[in-house]
Amino acid sequence: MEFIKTLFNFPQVHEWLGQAGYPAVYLGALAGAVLALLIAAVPILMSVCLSPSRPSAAKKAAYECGVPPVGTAREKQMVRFYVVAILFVLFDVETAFLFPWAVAYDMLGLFGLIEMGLFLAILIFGYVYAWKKEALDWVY
Amino acid sequence: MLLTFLIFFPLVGVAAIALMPTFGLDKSYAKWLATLTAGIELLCSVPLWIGFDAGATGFQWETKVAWIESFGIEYHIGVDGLSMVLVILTALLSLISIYCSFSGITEREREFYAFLLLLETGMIGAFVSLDLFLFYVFWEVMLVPMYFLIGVWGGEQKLYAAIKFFLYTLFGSVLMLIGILLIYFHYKEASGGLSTFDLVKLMQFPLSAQGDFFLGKSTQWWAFLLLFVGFAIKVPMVPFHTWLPDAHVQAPTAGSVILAGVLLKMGAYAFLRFSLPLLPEASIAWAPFLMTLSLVAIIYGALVAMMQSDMKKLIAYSSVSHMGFVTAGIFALNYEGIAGGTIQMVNHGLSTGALFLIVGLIYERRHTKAIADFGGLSAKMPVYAMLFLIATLSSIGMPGLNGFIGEFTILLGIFQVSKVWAAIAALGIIMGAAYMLWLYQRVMFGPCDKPENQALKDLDLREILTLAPLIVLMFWIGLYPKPLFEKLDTSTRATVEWVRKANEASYGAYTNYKHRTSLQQSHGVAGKEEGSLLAPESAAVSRSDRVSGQVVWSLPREGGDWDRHSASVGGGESR
Amino acid sequence: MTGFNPLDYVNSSDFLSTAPELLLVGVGLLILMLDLFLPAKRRELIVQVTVMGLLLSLAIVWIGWPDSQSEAFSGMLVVDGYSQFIKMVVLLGALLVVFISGRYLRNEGIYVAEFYELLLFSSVGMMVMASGANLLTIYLGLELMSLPLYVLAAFLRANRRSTEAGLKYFLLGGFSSALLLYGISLIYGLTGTTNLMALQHSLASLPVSPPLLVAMVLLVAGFGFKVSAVPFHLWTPDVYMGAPTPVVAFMSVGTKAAAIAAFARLMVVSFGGLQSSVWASMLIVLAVGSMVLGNVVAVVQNNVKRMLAYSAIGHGGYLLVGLIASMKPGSVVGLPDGLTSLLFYLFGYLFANIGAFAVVIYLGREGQHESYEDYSGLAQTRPWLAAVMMIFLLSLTGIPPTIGFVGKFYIFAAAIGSGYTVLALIGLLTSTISLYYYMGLGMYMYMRPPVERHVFYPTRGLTISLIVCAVATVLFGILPQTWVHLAQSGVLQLWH
Repeated sequence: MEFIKTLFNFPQVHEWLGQAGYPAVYLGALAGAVLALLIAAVPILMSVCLSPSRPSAAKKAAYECGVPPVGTAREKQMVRFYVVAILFVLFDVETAFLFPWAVAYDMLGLFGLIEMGLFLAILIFGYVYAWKKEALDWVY
Repeated sequence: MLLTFLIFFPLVGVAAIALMPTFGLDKSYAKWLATLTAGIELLCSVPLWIGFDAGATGFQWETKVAWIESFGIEYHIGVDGLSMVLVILTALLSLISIYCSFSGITEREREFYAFLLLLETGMIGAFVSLDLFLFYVFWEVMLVPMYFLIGVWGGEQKLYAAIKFFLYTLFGSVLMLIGILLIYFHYKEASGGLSTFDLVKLMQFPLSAQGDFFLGKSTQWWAFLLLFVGFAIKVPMVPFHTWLPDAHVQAPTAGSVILAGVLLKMGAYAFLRFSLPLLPEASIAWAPFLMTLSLVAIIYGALVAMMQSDMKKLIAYSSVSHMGFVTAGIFALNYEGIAGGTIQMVNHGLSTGALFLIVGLIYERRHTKAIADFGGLSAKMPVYAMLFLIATLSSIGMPGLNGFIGEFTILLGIFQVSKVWAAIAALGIIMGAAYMLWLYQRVMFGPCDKPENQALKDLDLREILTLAPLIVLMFWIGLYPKPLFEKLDTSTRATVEWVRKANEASYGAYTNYKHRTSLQQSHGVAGKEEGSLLAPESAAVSRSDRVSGQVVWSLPREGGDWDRHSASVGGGESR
Repeated sequence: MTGFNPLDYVNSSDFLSTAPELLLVGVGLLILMLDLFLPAKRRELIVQVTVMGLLLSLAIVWIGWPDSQSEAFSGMLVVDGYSQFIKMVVLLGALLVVFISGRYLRNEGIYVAEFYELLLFSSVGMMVMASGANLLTIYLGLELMSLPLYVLAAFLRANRRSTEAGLKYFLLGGFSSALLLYGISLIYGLTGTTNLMALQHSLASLPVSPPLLVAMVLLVAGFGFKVSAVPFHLWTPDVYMGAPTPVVAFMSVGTKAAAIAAFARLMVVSFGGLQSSVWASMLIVLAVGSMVLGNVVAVVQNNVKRMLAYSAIGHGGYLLVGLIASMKPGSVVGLPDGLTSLLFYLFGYLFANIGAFAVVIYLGREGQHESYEDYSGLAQTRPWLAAVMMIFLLSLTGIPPTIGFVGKFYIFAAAIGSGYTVLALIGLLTSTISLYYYMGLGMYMYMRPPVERHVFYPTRGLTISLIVCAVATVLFGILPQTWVHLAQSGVLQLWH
């Protein structure tokens, strides 16, 4: 860490950044970003460079074990999967909003309760809609 | 109120024609409804002539109502001698063009007459508007019906001619709009935030004729250029004239009559009504250039007219030549020139209107306008031959007919500016005589050797009636033009006086612009320095001169309005 | 945190001042339920409820017209004459679109409640944008406006062009939203606030630096996409061609109104200071490009819908001129005339453009009877329809006595008043070009012989909306003072 600090503490760098109009507080963020990149990139590079490579037909197949694949993975799926997946994502994300409310429940009081009631009511409208439109039925 | 009635009464006719099916009227009644409307309109415009006070300065029958307060736009209408005459001419030619279409228009009659009446509203509105915005609105309103008249009822190339007409004029209009806005914003600045499009008020704070607005030229110079393009396309002056032959040749007879008789006057009228009073110094600065263009138009129009094999095209080019006379007269910038230009506007409306009617009559019989298809008609159609002869002579300026009065007066005006220019313009008259008489000779005399022409019928009563009023007026103006000159006298004098005063204020002594331009050229730099040294005092002096000039030009008959206004916007210190 | 009371941040007046939006959300949910529980033959009720909701919302906007600016939800939204004017335009647009869409939806087999619902939610998004006084609320409104529109654009599920339009609009729209959001985050990074008024203070002392420039470019790109300004216009022709015609009518007016309203508020309120010259130079490029390209390319079209699409690009350019005119070079405070002209132009464009699309709907089904030839001789077979179309075309060209003329006049007057004479010149010359193609259609209608055409009978809604549009176009063209004044007083409230 000290190394990075000294790297960015060169007065010229500060001067240059200052001229460009960047506040110096961003330097830390920049350093963090570079570090994150390095942590991800170095192991990959190392494994590419160090590991021996002796490919064979069996190794190049999609799976080294189990049954050999038949056809491609991109084939038609039943449309119901999408509908269910979308509904799941929707309701899953919406319920995430309940957590902060639960944490701050005592501070938000009655007002928060009403707000959350409205929020849930709108969700229920959507739920009823999905239900009546038979989006939840798996088989007609 | 009378003027308001005149503007909007044709719309009543339009509404009546549009609602005809509702009342179960057959479409053949459309022409009679239109004739009735235009007839009442003409009758109601006669009081303008009778009641017009020739001695009074300023505008008469004024109406002023606030319209769009946010921009200071007013419904301000009124007439002086110039516009009064043109309003009556418009009403007359509208009636004639409706009456002459009885036999020629057989398809979609209701629309045709509705568009003609709509056009009449636009034309009269434009002639009586004293508010630049209002004027612009009517100016544009005229375009639409004319576009349809050419495009629906025109000849083979009608679509091309119609859109060309519309595009050319709109191009000019938008430049004109920018010019108007320059004037508007200048007033706003000079008056400390007041906004108006009112001609009379705008004249108090003329645009600066000195200074560098853009590319070393003053605001006024640029405003004049912008307005000039708009007006010149309408006149049309020479480099902008190419839409005219197409439009004329393709238009139905009524369209040609209106186009030649009224619409072309709109440009020349606008020069007199707006360019000269609002931009007097720039008018003088531009005058030599415009005079040159006018002379080019006179000669070029005449030369091209000689080469034509199509009667309508020949008359169209003769219009270019004659309108060159009008603009030449106006930009001589002296009393004779402007009076002559105005008279010539009326004359051209009468004689060219009559000529287009005459071509229309023969076209209805033979469905051709080519000169080569005719010859020796005088024997078959004596009445027609006589009326054609009168119109021809009127057009070439034969003494005793109206054309002579106008052209002679214009030449008087040009002569005072430059003898050479007057000589060139006079050459145009001779050439005019050549092509018109040659046309007459080829159509009327010689052997009648075409079999189709053998059975041609002479004019019937309705056809004679359409031409008769024009012929009468030609003789009247030709023999006794005094009443007309009297009616025009005050407004002409005021215009000339206003331009002269403005230039005296800006440049010192003023005789005419030829002298001034030569003076400027000889000591250009010295004059400039002098001006800058004297700047504050001379500005005050010029303002007071302008105010006195203003009074001559536009004191309303009731009096008070001008005084009140000038006091409120700070013209007071000059008194 | 113990002293925190949520009621310090919200009070009852907030709900009053956002009543028009809340009402529409309620109506949207209501028709959602009605659709589920009503028998199929009572469908008409859904349309009636939609119309009633829009009318009521419009009435609330009209009755509660504010005399001065007021804040709601602790400055996230503001309500002033400016925002209300835009809301009025949006609501009128939505109302007219509901009227013109009935027969179309039935013919195309998409006569479902979801159409009206999405229309309502999209309108709410537009209204939020108009009121947004915080970059986040503006962004929220933008997304709320766009997401339903993506769906609506692809509403003809069986039609390839419509689904293509939807997908294209979605991908490019999402991309532009991302750009906008990135711009917003940069602005936040530089100033530490997203509130427009607070931004004004922070930006006043900030020099024009590279990150600020980047942020401005990103904002321009984001909003430029929604206004379909060149060079962010590439989606417009395809989407306008493919999307259902009523949706196009709604998009062309509503989206433009909301986006340019929010953009103008941002620029005039927050960036009115030192940056205005930078804005102006960027926007001039966009405006000139839109006016020239939109109008020139429209000339060569032979399909009315496509022609209207390209001309919509041109009209976006005119709106930008109004926006530019509100920034005077060297002046810190924006000029009211530019924004007023912009509002008025939108008001006029609303009637003329929706009217023109109504005629397109009147004459044929999706993808059919849309070429110029199909309009041949309309003046003889349907004189009144041709006459109203002519009125709309004249208004779009800017020929008096129509409202389009007053709008154009005002915009270019404002531009000249702010010193952009050359820009006004270019704008007016391009409107001369627009004459060529608008009157080209007029030529087909009036000057060509009639063609055989399948006769569609209009619904009452279609007739009503055509009459309303035509009457408004002419009447407010002759008597524009009320609306000019309304727009003027609204704009003056922007600066309190």
